[in-house]
Amino acid sequence: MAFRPLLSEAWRSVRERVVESSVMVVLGIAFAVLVAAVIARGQEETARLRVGLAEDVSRVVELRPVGGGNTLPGWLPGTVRDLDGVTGVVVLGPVVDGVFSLTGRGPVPVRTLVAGAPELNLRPCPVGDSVSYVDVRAAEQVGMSYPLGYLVLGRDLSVGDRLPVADVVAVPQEWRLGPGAFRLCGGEADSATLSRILILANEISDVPRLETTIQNLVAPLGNSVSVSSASDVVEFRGRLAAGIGRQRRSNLRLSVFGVLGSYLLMGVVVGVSRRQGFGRRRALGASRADLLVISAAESLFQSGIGAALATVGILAIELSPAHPWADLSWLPWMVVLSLEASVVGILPVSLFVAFSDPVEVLRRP
Amino acid sequence: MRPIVGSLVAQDIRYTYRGSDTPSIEGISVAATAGEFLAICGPSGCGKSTLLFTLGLLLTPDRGSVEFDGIIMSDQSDRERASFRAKSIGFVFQDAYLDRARSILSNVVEPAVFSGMDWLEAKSRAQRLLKSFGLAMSPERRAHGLSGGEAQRVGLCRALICEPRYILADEPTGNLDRDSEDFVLSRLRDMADAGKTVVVVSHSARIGDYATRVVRHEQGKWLSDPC
Repeated sequence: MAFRPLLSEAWRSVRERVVESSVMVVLGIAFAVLVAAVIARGQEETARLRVGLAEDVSRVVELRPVGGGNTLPGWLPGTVRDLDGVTGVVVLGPVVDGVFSLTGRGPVPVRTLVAGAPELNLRPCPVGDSVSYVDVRAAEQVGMSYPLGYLVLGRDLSVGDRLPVADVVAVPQEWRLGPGAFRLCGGEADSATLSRILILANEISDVPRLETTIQNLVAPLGNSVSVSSASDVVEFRGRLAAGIGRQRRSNLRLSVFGVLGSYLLMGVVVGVSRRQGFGRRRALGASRADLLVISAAESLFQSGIGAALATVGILAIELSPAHPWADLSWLPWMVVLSLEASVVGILPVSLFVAFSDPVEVLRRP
Repeated sequence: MRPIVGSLVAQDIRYTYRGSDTPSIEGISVAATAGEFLAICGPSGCGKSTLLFTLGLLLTPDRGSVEFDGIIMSDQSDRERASFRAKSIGFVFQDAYLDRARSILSNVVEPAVFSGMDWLEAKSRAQRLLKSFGLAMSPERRAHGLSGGEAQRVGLCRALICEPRYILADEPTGNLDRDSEDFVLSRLRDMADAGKTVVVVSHSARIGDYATRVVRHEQGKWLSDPC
């Protein structure tokens, strides 16, 4: 069988059957647009979910003492810092903000960094004795002049806020005031205990394992430490991600089956309307194989034109500021699928006619 | 000795359509030779078209054989029969069976596609044939607006594009006026005179004026009348 004359004949037929070819081309474009829209929406949802999953809050394991008066042991921050999969540790509690007064002077705000905490907001804490600092606004009240480096508190900071510790440790030793220099003014100080440790995991997937490891680590402490994480959120988001993925695949499948069905329907309509033509071709010397090749080639050319136009359109949209697709790796598959669907659509009628009695086909349109 | 080239011999043919209990034709034998214009006449439903399509290898007989040039072709494979049809048989149908959505040229060259003829050669032949059959319109024009007579002339051109040795025509004048009928039958006679084997199925009374021999179906029997 010589393919070239058959393909040429199919191409001429496609060019000359303007109405039929136009319908098939539009069908091809519609298929591409439908698939592209479903994929764009899926990619957008996936990207949004990924951003959400990448947020720090989803990667945190939190340790708290159980009961109001309890504290966390001082060794805990350093130990958890060394665990596999840990990016950093934020220790809350060693910072004590309170209103103190020196003998003979008025009360001033003071922040005390408790010694021994390995890190504060991922920065090194003072080693040795705990160190207290006086608010810049109270410097003169305690007989010190600014900017000698005692004072680091921002005006809007409160207990638990992040503290620019690096600035603090640069303060010369001789200007630091030991805790003993101050006298607590009537219970206005916050707890000076290690009250909270936040552990940031490398990846969201590390969180469950890390939580289990830490639970084992604090098990000897009994029930004095609670370990919690955003695993519920993570699990929920995981389920959500899986759900979105399933939905996207389902949408894609529906689109593909819908378009395949459309091609099939169109193929049946076209095939039935050209049944007599198939019979004529058989009478004029077409073998069954010739008939199938020409039918498939006609459909391929028609859907190929549609897919090519759709591809150009999709590329143009992608290059525009709208930029709706994160990647276009699906584009070649869409084209292949479109071509396949068109051939599958026309084959049933072509096969039926090819193996029917040619005279019956010819004389009973 | 019977001439081999251009001979068409059907022996003891029986054909039953699918879904039917009774054969459409049974026990028919017919022969034609090169240069002969054989007319097959008879009332509607007597099986003359079935016989023609069996002779044209479009139908495979339940029994009997169809020989071309001394070779039994009716038991060949579909591909062999299709190839033989494309190269050696020219079909003319009652209503021409043109593809109205396509150009006149494309309709005429269609058999050439299946016979493997070069496209330019086929196009050139088609243009010559259309001119010789008095079709002055552009070959690129769509077949949609052709009259019955014009369509049948295009059908004749299509039947001749591959220069077949056998011309089989099924009621080629059934839908034509008298002038067109005369034109078509005289051209078929010309083809026979040119050495081709022409077999025409018709119920036209005037077929006898052009045929060299008539096979008639009368009262359930096939009778051959040499003209």
